[in-house]
Amino acid sequence: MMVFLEELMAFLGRFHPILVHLPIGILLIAFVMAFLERFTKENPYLPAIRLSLLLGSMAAVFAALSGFLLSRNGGYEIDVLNYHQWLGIAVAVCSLLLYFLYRKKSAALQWSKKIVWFRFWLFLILVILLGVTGHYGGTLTHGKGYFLEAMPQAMKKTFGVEESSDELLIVENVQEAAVYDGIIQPILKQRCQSCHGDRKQEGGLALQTKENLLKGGENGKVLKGNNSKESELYARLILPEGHKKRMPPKGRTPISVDQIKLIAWWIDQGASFDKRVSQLTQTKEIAAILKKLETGEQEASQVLYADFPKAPDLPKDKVDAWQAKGIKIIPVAKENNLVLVNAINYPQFNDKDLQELLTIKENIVQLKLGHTAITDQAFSTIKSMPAISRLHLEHTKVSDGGLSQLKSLQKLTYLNLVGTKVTAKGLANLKDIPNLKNVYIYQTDDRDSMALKALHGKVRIDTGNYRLPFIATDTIRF
Amino acid sequence: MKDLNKLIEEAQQSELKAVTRRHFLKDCVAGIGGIALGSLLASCGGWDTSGSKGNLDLNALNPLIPKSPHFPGKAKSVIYLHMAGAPSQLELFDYKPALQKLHNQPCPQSLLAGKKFAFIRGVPKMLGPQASFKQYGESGAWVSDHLPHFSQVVDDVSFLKAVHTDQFNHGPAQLFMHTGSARLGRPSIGSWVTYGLGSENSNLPGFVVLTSGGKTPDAGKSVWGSGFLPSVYQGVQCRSKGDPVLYIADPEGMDRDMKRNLIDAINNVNKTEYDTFKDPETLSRIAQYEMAYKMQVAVPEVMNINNEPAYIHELYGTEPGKESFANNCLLARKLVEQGVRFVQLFDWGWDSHGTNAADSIDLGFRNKCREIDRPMTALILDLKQRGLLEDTLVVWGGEFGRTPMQENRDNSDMPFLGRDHHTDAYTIWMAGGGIRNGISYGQTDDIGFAGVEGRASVHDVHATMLHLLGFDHEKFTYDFQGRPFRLTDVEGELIQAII
Repeated sequence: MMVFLEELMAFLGRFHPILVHLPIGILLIAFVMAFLERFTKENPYLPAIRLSLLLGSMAAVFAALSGFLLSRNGGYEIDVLNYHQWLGIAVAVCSLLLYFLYRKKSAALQWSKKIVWFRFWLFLILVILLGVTGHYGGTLTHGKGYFLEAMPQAMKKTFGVEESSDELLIVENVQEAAVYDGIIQPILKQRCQSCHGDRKQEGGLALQTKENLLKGGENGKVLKGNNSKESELYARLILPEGHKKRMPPKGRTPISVDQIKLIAWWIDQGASFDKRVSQLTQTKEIAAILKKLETGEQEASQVLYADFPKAPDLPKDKVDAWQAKGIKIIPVAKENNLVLVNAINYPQFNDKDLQELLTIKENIVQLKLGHTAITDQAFSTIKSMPAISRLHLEHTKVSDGGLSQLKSLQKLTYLNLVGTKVTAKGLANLKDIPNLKNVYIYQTDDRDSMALKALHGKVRIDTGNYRLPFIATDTIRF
Repeated sequence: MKDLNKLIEEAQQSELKAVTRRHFLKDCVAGIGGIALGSLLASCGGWDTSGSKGNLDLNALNPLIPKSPHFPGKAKSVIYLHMAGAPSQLELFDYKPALQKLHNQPCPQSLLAGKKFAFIRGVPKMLGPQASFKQYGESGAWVSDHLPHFSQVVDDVSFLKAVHTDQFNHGPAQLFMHTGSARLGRPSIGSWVTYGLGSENSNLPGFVVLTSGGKTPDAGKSVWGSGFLPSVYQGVQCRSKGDPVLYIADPEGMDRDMKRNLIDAINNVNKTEYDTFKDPETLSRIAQYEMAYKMQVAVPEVMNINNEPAYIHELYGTEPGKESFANNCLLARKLVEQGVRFVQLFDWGWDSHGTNAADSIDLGFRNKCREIDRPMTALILDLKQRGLLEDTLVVWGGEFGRTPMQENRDNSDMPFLGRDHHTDAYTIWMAGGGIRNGISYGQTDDIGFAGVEGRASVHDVHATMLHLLGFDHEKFTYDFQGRPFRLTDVEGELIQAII
């Protein structure tokens, strides 16, 4: 019998999504009539208001009851649920109160004008409460931030709505950090404990303390034999997408591949609760993942040019004129003023054309001038293009003369000098460019010089000229 | 005169009176029906919806003009090396010593229950790896002795070791690999990419296809077709032997000016046609005439490998004038260098069933490996030394994998060693274009039958490729038949580990 009651209550809870819309509709129409009653001379509405309020408040009570039954099922974010629950109860109470205030008898009592206004203002508050409750209800089913997420970009800017972003897990000096307290527990907190934590223990499992982790859940222990593959804590994370038992479940923020790897590593290394990172054996891969925790690089590196200052709008007429010539001006992304400039269809491109591009000097992040007619003069123009990150000057007449001028390019990471006249002497100037990572000097004359070797380490200089040895398998066939 | 006016007025009024309520209602019904039909038909067109997408507006007369993706992409070009026929992962990258111990033993029932294979019937025997393996590079990637050159560049490459598909026949599997659907009618990934990004060089097609191995892929030209996208985005197949494109040279007596006049005249007719009927295929036709005119100069130039220095030919192992995978690799580098967006290579001859020496896993398969080992390694090195690898994504793979069991076609022994088609696990590698270096992602079980960790579906591979090019695969859509279509349909998840 108890089981049947339990099941019945769970079933009644499922009526909540149907029931909630009744009080919203009925109470709103009652409010419209109350509004008319206040602001028009004739008011034939009072009986209708009374009836609507009776129905509306009853519906609100049933909605609240079914909502309470539904919440017992669990699976909802606890803070939001709390707000929604208490606001829902407030709506029910408030509408009941209003019904009594609008009742015939009360009206017969010859209310003073003040009270008549009071019940109208209370009604207004009820309507606001309805809206807020509904919003939290929506947040419960669709997730936090779903409402503003779809707002048009332009509106977001106007209203200053921040794009929601997950808080980054950053661990300073990771090798000295405690594995469990510093890394594993924060990951569990971030990804698991909204359902397996203090307030809620889905499947009887809580992950917020050592004791609970060791205890496991309804289906037994989640850590077994220091073997990640046998431990549910890990095995559940790597089930295929769409699998019923996969964690975190569908619709929740997924756990990242790196985080999964860290959990596996921690379990395989003995699931220790007190060791430091440096005390555990690390494969190259794990060491790399750990290293990234120091800077939070895993998320940040995903979008190129994310940290670049906002560039001004492009002058449309000029861009059109360049395009007509064959100079391609291509925004690197939608709604982004940063551009890639490519002169591939305009080989006559010379130093003068480059000077014209100074109009958009803050917009250019990638400049592709390979096989064009530019000379060393170009460097004095390029040096005032502060946003350049990737510079292609391959197969042009540029030589050592101008390379020193590139020092001012703080964002430069890539420099292509293949097939130019540059030598080790000129390249020595590059060591002061702070972000420069790769320089390509294949098909230049001086690329074997000793002076170049000195630059290695600071910047990766690719001298190219790769060869493959001749081996028997190249030619012998079965 | 007064009488005449009176007469006209009367006639007008009687006409107005004649339009009764019944007429009005009748007109309304027909009118509403017409409106409904109009919107119904418009949704069938697919082309009229470009405005509704907001993310990509088709520049009508210049469909290949460079366009911007959702966010800045790390890759600007793609070279996709497809080994048509599906090479064996068990002889190349997926080292399974346990399988060697099971060699020649009957396959356990547990592996066969509920499974369907293309040719295996009854109980096949297990087939141990027909190659020896070693770990290479700092990343310690496993590579077999079939790829001695490639093993030297593994640190520039990331492997997906547990890719899976759901098609075990070549045609559908190739379609799935290239269009995201095993059925005909979807655009290929190269078409999607050129549709989304256009082409940086307006003298060359944005999507070029090169084939080698003597045959084109089983799925036919649909693997580089544009499906419901405007046909200007389909792959342009170039030949590596003879004229790269048939009839590319002007006939005798036709000079460039005359050709220009001819094309202008045709385009004018086509523009009038477009103004009347608004068929987007007319625009494709105009664009293609323009492209063909420019290609007459640009294509023979870029497709000519004779001018490459001798040491480059040595690097790739190319032989000018022949149709070979090596020539195509060199061409792929030249095309990408010239700003071509997507270069698709198909190499036929990897279907190692063991029915004859040429498609046996211990003989013909080795020869195929030797044909690709040097060129594909050279391609990576050449792209790297020219500073192109950073923004060129190179993808290598087949349409599925091969079974750890020896094929027993019609439940009888085969004359040569071979493996059947296998969907549960195979290897794909990627390099450059924002791919992390030296990662091996995913793991198969002890005999390489199925992925046990880090499985990746074909949709996942597509999602990852689009991501590297700057697209959110869930937002990159094209409206057709009343609904937005995606390359990844309703699936696909980024493979975070390799990007």
